[in-house]
Order: sequence, then C-alpha cells, then structure tokens
Amino acid sequence: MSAGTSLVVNGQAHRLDLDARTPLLYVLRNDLELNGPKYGCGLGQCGACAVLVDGVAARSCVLPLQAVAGRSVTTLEGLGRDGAPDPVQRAFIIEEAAQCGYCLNGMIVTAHAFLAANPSPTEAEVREALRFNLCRCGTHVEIVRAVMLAARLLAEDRGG
Amino acid sequence: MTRQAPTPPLPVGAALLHGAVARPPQIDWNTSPPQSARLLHVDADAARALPGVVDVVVRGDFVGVVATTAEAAAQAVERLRLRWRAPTPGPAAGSPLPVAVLAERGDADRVGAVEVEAEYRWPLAASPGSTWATARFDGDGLMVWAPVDPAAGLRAELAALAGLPVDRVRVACIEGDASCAEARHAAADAVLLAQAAGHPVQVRLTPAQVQVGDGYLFASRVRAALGAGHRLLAYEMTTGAPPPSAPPLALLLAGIASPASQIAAASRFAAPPYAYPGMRISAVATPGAAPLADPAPGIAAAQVFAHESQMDALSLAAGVDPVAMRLDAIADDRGRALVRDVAARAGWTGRSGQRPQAGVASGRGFAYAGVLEADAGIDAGHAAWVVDVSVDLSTGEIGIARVVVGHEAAAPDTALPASASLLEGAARAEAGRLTADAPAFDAWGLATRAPDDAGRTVAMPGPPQNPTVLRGAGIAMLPAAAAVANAIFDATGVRMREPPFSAARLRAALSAPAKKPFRGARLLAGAGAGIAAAAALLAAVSPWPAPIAPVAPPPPGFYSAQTIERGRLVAAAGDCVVCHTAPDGRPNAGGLALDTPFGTIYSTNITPDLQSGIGAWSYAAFERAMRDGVHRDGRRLYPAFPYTAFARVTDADMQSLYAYLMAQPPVPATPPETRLAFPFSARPLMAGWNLLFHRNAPFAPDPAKSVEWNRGAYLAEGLGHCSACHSPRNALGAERGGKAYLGGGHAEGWDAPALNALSAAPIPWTRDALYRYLRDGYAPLHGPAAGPMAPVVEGLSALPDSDVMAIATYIASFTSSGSTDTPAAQAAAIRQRSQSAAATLTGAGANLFAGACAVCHQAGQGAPVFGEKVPLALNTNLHGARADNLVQVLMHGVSTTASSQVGAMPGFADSLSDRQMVTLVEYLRGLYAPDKPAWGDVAATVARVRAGGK
Repeated sequence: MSAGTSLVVNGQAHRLDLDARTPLLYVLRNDLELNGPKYGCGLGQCGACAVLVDGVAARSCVLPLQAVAGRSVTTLEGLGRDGAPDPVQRAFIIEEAAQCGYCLNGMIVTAHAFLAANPSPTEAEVREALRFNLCRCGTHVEIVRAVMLAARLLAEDRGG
Repeated sequence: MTRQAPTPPLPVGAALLHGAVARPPQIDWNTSPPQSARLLHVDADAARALPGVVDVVVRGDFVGVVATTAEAAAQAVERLRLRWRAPTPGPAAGSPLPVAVLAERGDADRVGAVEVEAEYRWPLAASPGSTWATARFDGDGLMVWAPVDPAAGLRAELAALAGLPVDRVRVACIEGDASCAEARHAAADAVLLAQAAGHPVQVRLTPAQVQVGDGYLFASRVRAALGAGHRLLAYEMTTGAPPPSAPPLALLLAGIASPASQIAAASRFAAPPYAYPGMRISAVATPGAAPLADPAPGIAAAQVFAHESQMDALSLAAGVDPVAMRLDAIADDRGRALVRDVAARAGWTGRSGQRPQAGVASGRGFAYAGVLEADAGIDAGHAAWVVDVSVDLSTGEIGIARVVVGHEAAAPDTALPASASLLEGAARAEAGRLTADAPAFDAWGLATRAPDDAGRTVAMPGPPQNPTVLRGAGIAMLPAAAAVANAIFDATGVRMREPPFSAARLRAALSAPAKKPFRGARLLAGAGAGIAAAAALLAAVSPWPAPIAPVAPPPPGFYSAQTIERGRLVAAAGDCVVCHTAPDGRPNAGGLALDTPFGTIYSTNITPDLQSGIGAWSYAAFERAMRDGVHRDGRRLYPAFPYTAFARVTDADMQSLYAYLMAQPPVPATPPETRLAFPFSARPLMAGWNLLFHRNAPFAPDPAKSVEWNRGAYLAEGLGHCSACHSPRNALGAERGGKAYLGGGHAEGWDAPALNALSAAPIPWTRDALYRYLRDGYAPLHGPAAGPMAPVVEGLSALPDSDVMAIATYIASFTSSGSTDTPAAQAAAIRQRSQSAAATLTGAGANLFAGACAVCHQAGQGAPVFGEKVPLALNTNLHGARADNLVQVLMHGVSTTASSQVGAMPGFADSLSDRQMVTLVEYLRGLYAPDKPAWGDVAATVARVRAGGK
C-alpha cells in the first residue's frame, strides 16, 4: 500500500519497504543491524531501547516505524565513532558506570538528550531525568557521576 | 514578469522546524486597522519544558512556538499561559453604521415615473481548509514556499515583516492546495518564526487560526428610476461592505502597517455599466463580520447579479424589451455591439410571455457585464448571456435548456477557455451550479493535503499563469446568475433574489404544496413498540421481497475512471472496508464478527466475486440492499449493516460506489453464516422493523443551514453513519433520534462517546478540535483516535480537508460549549487538579502508574520523551460513565492512529493481571476525574474485555 518509509538513521538516509507498524527497535536491530538499542521490556517502560528522534529521547520498542517517517534517528552507534566515543560515552567509560551494561544504551542516550536541554544540571536533576530508565544493577551511583562528568566534558568540547 | 531563477527545493526532514501560533481571542474587524486583543502577559515555562520545543517567539501581540515537530509545536501552544486585554470596542451598538460612498454623479435622489426598488443577496462563503507555508532566511534574503498567488502585495508585506528590501524576498507558489488566499497568513507566521529561530520553519494553520469569517450574505439594496420616455434617470445602490481583506495576521499582531493596499477589489462592478445621469453607490459596514479569505470574485458576481436583475425588473416595469433597454443604456460602443451580437445569435425575440399554470414552463433571460479597465485580477471586457430554462412547476426543478454566451476581452491572453466549446462547457457548468439543488452537498472535491516532510515530492511550478479559471475568465461568467434568474422569472413570474436557485426554494416561492415526509412510522416507535407490535404489522407489508436475478458484472471500462474515483471516495467516507474485512483478511471479503445484543453478525463479502461476493448483483439489487436492507436473493438484512443511513446517499454517489466496488478484484471467500437466536433469527420480521424504524428517503438539505453544514450533515448522516455507533439504540436495536441523537452508544466493545450536549469531554469539543481529531487522528486537548475510531480516521484521510471540516461543522453544531474560559485555561485548571490529586493518591495504583505509564504520561517528570506526554486528564475516556474504553486501551494498546504520528501505545494485557488492571483503572479514575464517581464493577469490565480481547 505505501511506497515505503523514509527516515535518516545516524546521518544516513534509508527508504524501508516495511509494515509501517513495525516497532522502530526491530527495524534498527534486524534490518539496519544497529544493536546498540536493546530489547528490554517491550512496553516502553525500562528505556533499554532508547534512541534519539530529532534529538529527543524515544522508546524505540513502542514507536511504530510510521512515527519516525521523515525524521532523523540517532542510535548509540551514531553518537561517537568506533575508537572515538562522544563525551557522554567517554564519561561512562571513565566512571566505569557499567555492571552488566544492558541498560547503558538507554542511560547514555537519555543522558545525551537531557544534557542537550540542561547543560549544567544538579545531581538531583540527573536522578530525576533518569528515573524512568529502569535497572537493578549496582552502578547507579557511578551512572549519576558519569552524567555529571559528561556535562563537564561537553562544556569543555564547546570551548567553555 | 521577468523569468525567475529556479525555485529551490522545499526544506524537509531534519532541515525543517515546525511552527504553531496562538491567536488572540478577539479581533475587531470594524475598525481600521482592525484591533486585536492586546497581549498582556506570556508565561511560556510549561511550553518551553516540552520536548522538542526550540523557541517561543513573542512579537507585539504575535505569539508562536518553534519545535522539532508540528505536534510538539501545537502542544506547546496549548501550554502557553497568555493573558489578553479585549480590544477597545468599535462603534457602539445603536450608533449609525459608517457609510462609504464608492461612486457618485449627478442627482441620485431624483424621483422618476417608473421606479423599482429591491434587495438582492449573494452568499459569500469562505473556502475552508487548512493551509501551510515554509520560510527560510539565508544570505540571499527570505525564501517562502506556500500555496499562494505570489502577488507583489504579499512580497511587500513579508518584506516589511522581515525588515528586508522587497527584492530580497522570493515567494514560490507550491501547487496542490485550494486554500490560496489563507496561505498569506501562514506565510507571514512562518517568516516571523523562521527569523526568530534562525532555521527554516513550516507553519500549518487550521481555518480557525486564519480567523477568516465563515461567510455571510452580501446584500445589495437597489433603487432605479426612469424618467419620461423610459430615459434613465437615477440609480442608487447600497451594499453591505465586507471588511477589507485582512492583512496577514502576523503583520497586524506584530504592529506593522501593511504596505499593500487592502481595498476590496471588486469596486469595478460597484457601478452599473449604464449611463444613469444620477448615480450613487455606497457601502455600509457589516458589523461583526470577519473578513473572508478572498471575497473579491464573489462581490463582483453579487454586484453584477444585482445590477442585471434590477435591469430586468426595470424593463418589465417600463414595458420595454430588456435587450432593447440595455442597448439604449450601455455607454460603450463595444459593449452595445456585443449585446446586439449575442441577442442575434440567440434568436432573441423578447420575453416568452407564456406562463402555464401547471406542467413545465419555459423562459428566457438576458444579462450583461462590462468593464473598461482591467483591475484586481478581472480583465477588461464585456460579456452577455442568454439562458433558456425549463421549470417543472410542481417540483420547482430547473433545467438549463440552452446557454448562449458572448465574451469579448480587451486583452487576448487571458486564461479564458480558448475555444468556443470550452467556454460553452464552462458556461453550462456555471449555470448548472447556480440551479443545483442544495449545492454541492454530494460533490466530491480533490483531496489536498499539506506536503508531509516524509519525503513526498512536490510539484514546483514557476510563477502561476492564472490560478483559477474563474479569475482568469473573470468577466465572462459574471452575468450567469442574473441571466438564469431572469429566465426563471420569465418562466414563472418568481423573482429569485439570492442564488443558488434551488428547486426547494423555487418550489417554496411557487407555493406548491411540498410533499411531507412520512412520519407516521416514527410516531409508532415512540409508543413503546415491541415484538408484538412488529409482528402485528407483518400483515401490512410484504415480508418476502422478490429475488433480483443474477446478472453478469459490468465489463471493465464500463464505468469511467472518474466515476470509479468518485466511488472510491464514497467508499472511504462510508468506511465499507472497516466492517467488511476480517482481521488479517482481504479487504472487503467479509467475515468480521460484529457482536450485537441479539447475537453475532458476520459481515459479508462485497468484492465482485460471482459466487461468494456481489459480482452477480445488478445495480438495482445493490441499490435495494443499500437503501432497503434487502439481499439480492430477497432475504432481509440486519441493520448492523447501516442501510438506515445509506438510504440517504444520493443516486450519483450510489452509482459511483457500485462502479467502484465492481471494479475491485474479486475475492472468493465465504464468511461464516450469521445465526441469531429466535425471534431475531426470523429475518422476515425485519420487514416490521423497517416499517417502524426505517425511512428510505434521500438526504434533504436544510436550506436554513450553510452549504458546509449540509455537506457535513450529508456525510455524517449518510455515508459516515456516525450515529450508528454514537447514538443510543432502543430495545429493538433501532437508533434513537431527537434529543438522544448522537447521545452516545456502544459498539465493538467500546463506548462511542456522546457527541451532543451529553458529552463527558472535560473540555467541550469545538469545530476546530473535531477537525483536527478527524483529520490527524489526534486532538491535543482530547487525545488520539483509538479502537474502532482509528479506521474511521484512516478512511477519512481519502477525503479533502473541506469535507472533514464540513463533518466537524455539523457535529460541532450538536455540542455545547458550557464554559466561557478559553480551552487552554480550562486545560490548565484540569491538569492542576490532577496534580493535587496525585499528591494524595498513593499505594499500589500509584506504583503501577509510575512503573508502566508515567514515562509517557506524566508531564514534567523524567527526561523529555519523544511523542506526546498525553494529557490524560483531558481524555474523555477517563471522564465517561463506563470504564470500557480505558480498559480496552490498557489491554490492547493503541496500535495505529491512521495518519497520526502520535498516540501509539503498547497493550498491557500480557503484563498486568486482572487485579493489577483493576487497581490501575481505579487509580486513574481517581487521579484524572476526581469530580466523577468511581466506576462500578471495574473487575467485570476487565474480565469481559480480556475475554473478548482482539
């Protein structure tokens, strides 16, 4: 029926002839082989599947493909290059903010969107921003520290 | 016009930001310049906090939002808290209305031997429809794309707005949208927003945001006097002047004087083309009327209609032939020559003078229009018409027997149909339009939408040659209305003073006894009809209609592509495919199970398969099924198939629908047989049901209502069969009318909310909100279209904006507004109430909400999430009398919302137990509708929805 869905993923234009109701997460992982976003709950609750849509954090497991038609999607892979992570990713590495790491895609992507809107947050604001990224690991403290560090790294990058 | 550089491509995708605007609550158009309410205070914190919002732009009284998506921008506008001061009132009521004299010569007040005074009216209608524009600033200046006539005036206005010289402003006309004139407003909004954001911005406006009027009657009072020897003496005309066309609203609101002249364009036709020694043409302000998008063509037609009807009446009063009188009175040689030529070609020998008392009367009319200098899109030239009509005196139906048109243009290179046959065709169409009964309520426009940014290619024409035939042809069509009216007068002695000259109006004027619709059956229904009553009536009607013999389906090519295309729109408006398609089945092959209180009914195969479908159905059989609810084989159909609504469809639409269905690929598929329990299994009983509840009568427009309302009523009552779900039904499954009409019903396991004054919507539905809901599948102050309403929105996507707006206009006429607060203020108050409720409600429900719902539905918490933080406090489903819709959505989610990019939600049937579901539903009710009583027996609803889950 449709002539495919056009979207831009990590700067590259795609035209996908798929059912427009396919969840974006499946398209990214299965069709575009981008495995940064993870399948967690499948209900938009945990945030492991987060990506950026036009710069805003999105839960890709509940987002039908048609919702991102004509939009720009950025996955974890699109934040930095291999060997050259972006400041948020660098901060997470420096702070060793991972246990099993399954939630980290969501943490990093959400932090990225959050810091774009709030470049110098307080620690309380960081906790509030990540409250809907569900995880049971032992590195919550490190994750918050990583986001605070990321804010400083981003400021340095801007020449601040 | 010099050749322009090629139009740069329209920015799309990530290169484009989206704008939305907040308009002042009032604009007083009676002052010059118009006065808008003044902006006192802007609180934009809540708007800025929304994800995707880039900027909130305030300039003077102009307020707009720029965001990464159109939805985010629109939602942010709803979150703006704005305080306005009403404009200083214009002329006080009772004070004399300002009069402007447009033209005056000699003594216009002289009293003559023969005098005729009369009023003529002309409906000026706004062209409804959404509109859009994109603006971009770069090193070269300002570039604007819009479906707009890039007249120099608009460029000057946009240049003034942007503070640029005119030569650094370019406007590219993008074809494919009807709402040309309103696009000026979108263009100006986009310019202000793009300038502030430093990024290309697209703005889409709904008709309400354009704030043009939705039309009114343009009245002209005329007095003409003849002296001795039938010499012209004096002519006076007073018209209700529409406000001058509005400057783009952004200019007005930003406080920038428009450099373009805003004088109404039709003044060329204010004076008649006759040599009256005394003449005065004046205009009286029309209090309260908002400017129309582009009233000029309508005003020109209205003025020519008044002049030429008056000339006819005057010549009759003087006992002179109307053509001879014009030949004496026209000052211009070429005009006289054209009138003489057209009269000769038509074989004009005067009025017919015969008026039969019954049967068919025929008559002939003449009219002329002339202008010496081209102006305001109307070419200089002359036109004369002779029209022959035949009138059925019992029905008032008017047939156009012949049209003779002569046209002489001073400038030969207009867009006038070049050949005589094209002109004749245009003239016939125009004459037909004027006599159409209930104009256009079953006319199907072309679907036009603003370009999506989803990579759709857009035609990029150069500067348009002549935007519409009407405008280019201008003068040639102007005498049409008067010529037809004069011919009707000749045939019947009835002077029609307001187009359209419909059969209903003419019949009323002829005082022919109108046929009363059959009402007896309806009264019976009120008397508590039961099965016994229905059975008792069986003797009176034939319970077994005869079968209609199978026929071979029409061969390919039998119906024109146009007819099939029209049928496609009819089918889309009727949502055939929604009920006639099983889950995952082939379209229209039937088999969907419809649960009714009387048992399960399976929809049938309506593809043209010979055995299992309707391939062997003749048109007569198809029409009988659609209007009377009888299968080809004579079986009665159950009214789950809404033939009660489809009976209202016009013949032309019915034929087109048949043509369309027969042109589809046949699918062999036999759906399960419908088996209802006795007595409902006895299909012949439906004969009694029909006698009680079914009135097989085509739609009759209400002449007291607007054309748009009637179009909406036709779509909603007929094809759209809104009331099939949205009206309550009586014990025998018949829709209840009167005050219960659209009072809410139940279908497919969902509540169909009341659309009338009983609506539980916390913020009353407006025409604009209904339009957005039906067009986009989402209304910001209400929520998305889900459940059985989602395919309805999908079906409507085939229809043009004007049709969706017509439906919204019709439905909105049943709602009640209740509060005087602005919707945004009501929304803020309701959200506030939920926030305080959230503080007191804790426990398992709150925990479930925080884990499963809050990430998307709790605004102001967590990081921004793409899509909507849907304001559940405003959703009708939380406020209704039953929990059904909320439970449906929680169980099954919202899988698609047709054209919308918002509203997708996962279902929680597999992750929440019944007990958790009940806890969550009760929590949501307490949180979002604290003023409403708790729902009774939510557990039963949850169990039922889970059992019947799709």
